[in-house]
Amino acid sequence: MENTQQESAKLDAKWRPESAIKARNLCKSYGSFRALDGIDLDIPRGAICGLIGPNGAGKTTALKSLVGLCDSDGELSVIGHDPRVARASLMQDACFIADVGVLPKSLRCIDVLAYVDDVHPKFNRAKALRFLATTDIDLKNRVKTLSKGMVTQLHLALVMALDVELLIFDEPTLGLDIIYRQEFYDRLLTQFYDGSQTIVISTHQVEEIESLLSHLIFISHGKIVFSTEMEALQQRFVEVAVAAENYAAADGLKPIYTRATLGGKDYLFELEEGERGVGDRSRYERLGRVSTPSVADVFVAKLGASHG
Amino acid sequence: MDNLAAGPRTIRRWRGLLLREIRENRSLLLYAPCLLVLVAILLGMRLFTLLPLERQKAGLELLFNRFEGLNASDVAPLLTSAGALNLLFIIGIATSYLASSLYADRKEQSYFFWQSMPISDRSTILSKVVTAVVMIPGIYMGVLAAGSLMLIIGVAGYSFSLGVELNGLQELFAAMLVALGFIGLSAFIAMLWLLPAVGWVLLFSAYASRVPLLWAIGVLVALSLLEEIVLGSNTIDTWIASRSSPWQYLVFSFEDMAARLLSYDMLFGAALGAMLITGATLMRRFAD
Repeated sequence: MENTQQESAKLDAKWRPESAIKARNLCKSYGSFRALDGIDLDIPRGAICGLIGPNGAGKTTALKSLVGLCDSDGELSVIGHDPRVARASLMQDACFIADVGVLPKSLRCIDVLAYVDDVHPKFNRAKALRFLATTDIDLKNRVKTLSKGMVTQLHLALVMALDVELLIFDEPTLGLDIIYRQEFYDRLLTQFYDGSQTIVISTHQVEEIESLLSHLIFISHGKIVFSTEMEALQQRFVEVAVAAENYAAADGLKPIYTRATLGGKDYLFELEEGERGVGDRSRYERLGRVSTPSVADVFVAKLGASHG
Repeated sequence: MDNLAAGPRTIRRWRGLLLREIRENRSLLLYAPCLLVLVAILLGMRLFTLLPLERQKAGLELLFNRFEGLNASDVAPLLTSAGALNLLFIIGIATSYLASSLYADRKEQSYFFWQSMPISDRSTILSKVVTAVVMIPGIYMGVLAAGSLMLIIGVAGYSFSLGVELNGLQELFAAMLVALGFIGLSAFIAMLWLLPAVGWVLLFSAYASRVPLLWAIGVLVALSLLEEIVLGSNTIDTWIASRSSPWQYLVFSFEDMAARLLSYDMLFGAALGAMLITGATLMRRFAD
């Protein structure tokens, strides 16, 4: 039922006036195509929130709406600003990385730094230079001569030198090799995030950011299909490696997803309200080895059902 | 304290915005004027050196004798008129710049980087207008002045080597400075006069998915045809014709300039240009 009905991404049990992002019935259409179909968001300050969805789900449109890069209908407040009418003032306290390849190619790296230094009141040039000194980037080079990984490092250096409250990343590591991807998130966490900023990341590579996230939102066909805090996720789902003789019993417990494995099947169950937390899981343990599912498993289960 | 800091911050922001335009458009804004002026000088020199040496010498003697004792302001209009071609170069550079100014960043997707900075669309568009109206003429005139100075020094040196007396050199130099000043003012007037065209090209640069200049020209031609067919009039054609000759932009005195700036036609054009620039700002916002 949950998959067919739009869920509100209200990630905190209580209304928090200090929410970084609040949206109600946010809609955006391109002609007859509804890219955002009335989504609700409530992301608390300090959260690291993953926005996960398949291609064409509405992730990019949602993020662009949050920073005023596309018009939308509905109520929207991003760190106290309505981005549709106050993008410039919002961007003093927020930063958006659309994709690793968006830095102006004809500029030299030093010119990009000089520009941000001139126009952004919260940019710390010395901090950016310190970060760049740890990379192989020659600041006299033009952006177009850098590898994609280096462009990411340059962009990350710019972002980390901004004293902003909100970071929004849209597929920030798309097309990068595993080393650059890992470095990107490591540096973000160790050299930027201190618990006070809010970070929203959309990505396909959910397994890479799973350990960073405090909150999770699944989006499909322009609608929020699932949202939770990461801690709650672990209490809400169990994965059971079921042996063949227990298939019938496991099917009787109404799994939300099954997957064939070597020598058996993995079953994913969404627990009833009363079973969550420290509740009795013995009926699952009787079926086989119980573990906490990965975000990717829950994603496939929820989005697979939603697509079906 | 905030108010005290706001002034320098605004200046710094505008410095960043205008330097961005130069850094992003080096070829067009810096190298193209240098190349145009250099080619013009070299071409002139080549044509001159094709003449027999005796005729060269006679020509140079005539030049310096003519200028001897002349008042710079008397001969400057002649030199200013001769320099009208430079206005076409300036307008050509500005048109090319404007057509790509809001289109290129969307094409290469750096649009998302620029838009992630705390700069409003209005400031971005205004920085493009200031670049076209003030910076392009200013840079071009700087290059032209440097080129003219080098030309005069070269001509004087060559004349001296031929044994020509440089009697009118001082007057020639003064006339050249006055003429450069009036060409510069005329270039500025021309860009203001063409503010509707600036806004029109920006409008298409902000929204067209390809070849913005072709769209800007095509739609204008279509509108003019439509006017002729539906209304049987030629207002658009007439209005464009009234603003298309570089000699119309020339000013030869400050009174001339003031009269031109305060003319009804100029103010009407400025108002229309402002409307189109506002339209381009909205188009920029909705170009997602």
